[in-house]
Amino acid sequence: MINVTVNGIAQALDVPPDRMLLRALREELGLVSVREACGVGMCGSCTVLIDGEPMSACLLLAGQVEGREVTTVDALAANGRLSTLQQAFVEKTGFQCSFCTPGFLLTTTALLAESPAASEDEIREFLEGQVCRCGSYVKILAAVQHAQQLLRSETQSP
Amino acid sequence: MSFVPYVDAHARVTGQIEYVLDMTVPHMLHAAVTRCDVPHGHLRRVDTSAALAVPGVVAALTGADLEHVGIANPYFGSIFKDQPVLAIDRVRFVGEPVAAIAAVDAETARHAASLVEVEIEEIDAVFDVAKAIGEGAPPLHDEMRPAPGFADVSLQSDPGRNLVNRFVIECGDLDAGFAKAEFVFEDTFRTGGTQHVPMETHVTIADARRGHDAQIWAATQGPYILRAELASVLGLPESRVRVMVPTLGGGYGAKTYPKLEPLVAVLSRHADAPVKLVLDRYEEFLTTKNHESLITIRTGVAADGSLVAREVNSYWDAGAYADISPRFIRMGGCYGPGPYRIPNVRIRSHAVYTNKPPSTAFRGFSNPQAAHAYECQLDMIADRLGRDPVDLRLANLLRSGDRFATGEVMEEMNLRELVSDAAQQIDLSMPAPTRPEDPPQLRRGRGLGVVIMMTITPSSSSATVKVNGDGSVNVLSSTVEMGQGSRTALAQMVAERMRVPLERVRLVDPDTDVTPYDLITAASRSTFMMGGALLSASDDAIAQLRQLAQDELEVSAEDLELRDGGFYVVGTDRGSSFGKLVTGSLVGTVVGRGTHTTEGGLEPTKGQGIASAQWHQCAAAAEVAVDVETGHVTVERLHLGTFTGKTINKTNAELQLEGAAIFGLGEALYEELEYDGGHIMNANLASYLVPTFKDVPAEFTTTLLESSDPDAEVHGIGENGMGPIPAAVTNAIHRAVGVWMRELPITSEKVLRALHEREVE
Repeated sequence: MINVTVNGIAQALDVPPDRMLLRALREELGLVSVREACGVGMCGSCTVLIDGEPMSACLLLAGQVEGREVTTVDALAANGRLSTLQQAFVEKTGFQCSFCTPGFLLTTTALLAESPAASEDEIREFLEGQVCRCGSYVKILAAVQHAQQLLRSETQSP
Repeated sequence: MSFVPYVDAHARVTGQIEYVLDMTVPHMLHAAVTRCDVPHGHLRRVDTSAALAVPGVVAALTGADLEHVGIANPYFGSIFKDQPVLAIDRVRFVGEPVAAIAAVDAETARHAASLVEVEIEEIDAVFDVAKAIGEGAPPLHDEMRPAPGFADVSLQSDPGRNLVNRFVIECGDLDAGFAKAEFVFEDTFRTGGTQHVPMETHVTIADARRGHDAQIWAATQGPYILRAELASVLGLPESRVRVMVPTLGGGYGAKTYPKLEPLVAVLSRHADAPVKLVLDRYEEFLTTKNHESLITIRTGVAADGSLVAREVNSYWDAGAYADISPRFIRMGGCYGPGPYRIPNVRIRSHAVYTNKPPSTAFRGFSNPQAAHAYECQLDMIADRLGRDPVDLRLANLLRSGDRFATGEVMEEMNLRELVSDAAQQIDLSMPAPTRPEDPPQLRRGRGLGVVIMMTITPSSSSATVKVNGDGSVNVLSSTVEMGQGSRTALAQMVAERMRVPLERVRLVDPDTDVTPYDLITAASRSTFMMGGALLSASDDAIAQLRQLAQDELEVSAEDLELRDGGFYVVGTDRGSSFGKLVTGSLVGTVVGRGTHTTEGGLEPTKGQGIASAQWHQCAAAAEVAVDVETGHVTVERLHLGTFTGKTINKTNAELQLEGAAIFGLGEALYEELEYDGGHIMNANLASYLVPTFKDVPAEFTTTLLESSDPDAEVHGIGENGMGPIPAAVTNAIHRAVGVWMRELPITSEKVLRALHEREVE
């Protein structure tokens, strides 16, 4: 059994510790938003947050997340309400086929938690490991910057 | 134009949008494929006994089984039925399927597939188009097996020379044209093979059990093409084959024509259970690719700079099976003259078999390769003549009313405006100035590229619009949503035409049992073709609703106006909503039908006729920075402009243009399949590099040029941004460091080598 908190819920996963985390999340918990695209940690498609840090679920084994917190894109919207970042991606259309979108959203969530006022260069650099083959980068950048603005006005308003 | 988000945006940003990858059906087995590891050979033995002994394995399929599994045709292919469902007696490329396993889970299937024993007697292989079509090359195919009817392609094949097909254009008098020329330029250009790399690899679920109608859930851009192919393979009427397509995780041409779907369907038949196959990234690289090209272009130029003659000989690497290569080289041939007025033209375009994975459609469909050749040569001509490259283009570009090399009259030509705009945006009239922060080894240059693009002609799309009892609208369309936003743009067109709110219009995903015929989601045709069908279908529904309103309100048609989702007596509030009209009519739903068909085609001997129902147009200008110590090229500024006719959704259109340009940057600078003895050496995303954020130009702008005519037809824009990019980058590099890069991709190594060679000279 692997004891792990996934999207805020304590889970005991009945998988061998060497099971790829990506498979465990998809097959045991039905979290199909975690999608493999390269299988070698190069494209960022299957990114999840481990204790808030973006990591490729295709490179992690279930045993490595014992006792830790795993967040997938499924947890970003609370009670059907999109997070500010998700809303910003909708309002700037920061996607096309959207296969890579969960990875972009989670990585950006980590970036904005760590550095809410990240500059354009910092955003580009932080997201360099995420591949969008449709090439939506210009709009993704606009979405992240839009989210920064929205978050700023949220914290300023009482 | 106000912003309209994707209608499915919520599902996209919550990770919930459904791909075939995420689907399961009851009693489903999982498949894995055993692939051959030699490029060419006679298949002597395939032994699946060890695989079948693995607990959890349900079935193993080999080429020898194809005779016994109760199928009608073991070969498939849209133009030539030359590709076996899995290797029967020959293997023709590394990675060709030789056996398939169905098991209770994917891990078991993969393990079992690795235990299949394969014996192959290797024979000579050929990997290069020039060698493959030359004397003494081993022929890959003994016969061609043409498939019945392909409206836009005529067959001119020679299997003995590995010639899949040839395409010809002849117009004017070539010799007389060259005799008039003051200068003649002849140059050869090459492009490497690239892969589409859709984030979602090919994936299919097939249920082709005996005694059942076949059901297929596939990541395909061509549901109707796939249905016809599977009906042929399985020996079923098309009415008993149902292809369903949810959202695709990218396509870019990779998912146009059948690839693994016939194998999955036959394996399902053999295992007597539904089967799912998901390719891993390595297998995706082995399954299909873009065409490598070898293009020799000879252009005659008069003293005043006008282009008077052009001859193009091009060879395109089809790989081991024909797939769509005959159409690909037809377009590749048509792109030879470029967007220029040239009175005397001869084009010879050839698709050639080699022992490499089969090539297929690829975003841009030969346009980037062709444009790299003719646009680079155009800058060479400008250089030699001492002419400004923009002025030389403006003097030669096609204008409305000009005849193209195919004889057709060009309409809505906005090339001069697009070129002038791009040149202005990137300040092409001036050399790129050094910036204070530039290190001493950095050189800057600016360049331009301009293209015209075709769409498949003739072709057809049909659609149905259903107006429900509450006045909401379902739209039945077989256009595949693969990220281009068709679900949104097409719904917008219906909503606008029918004057109903967008949120009350919903597109039904492609399902060949339900949604009407569409040729394919490709060739940037959907908004134009399916859009046209939907407008006709909307008009049909509107006409029926108007009649209902006339009857109910007892007024004549001219007294009625269409607004707010209903019909109202002009200038009054008296009227009826669609919902009330439909409910009152007691028919349940009002159904409108529409078809949009284009006519044309080229006669086979001289390629004369109508090549394309509309010609897409795009120009790009780039500023690059070249590091002369490392050879590294960075595109720092980029502007693209395209003609949209009428823009349906500005954000979607920009995304298409920007996305295609970024795809083009990969083609221009990085992407190439590297082979060793037919083995792809970089079949993974650690060594095959696709553009990421660091490749996006710091300054990146677009122009969407609309027609001045408010009733202008919508132009396709999905691929336009690709074609001019390699050309613009190549020309900018020449301005920066004085070398012509005749081969794509323009890697740092190639730039360094070219700089070194120039120094030696």
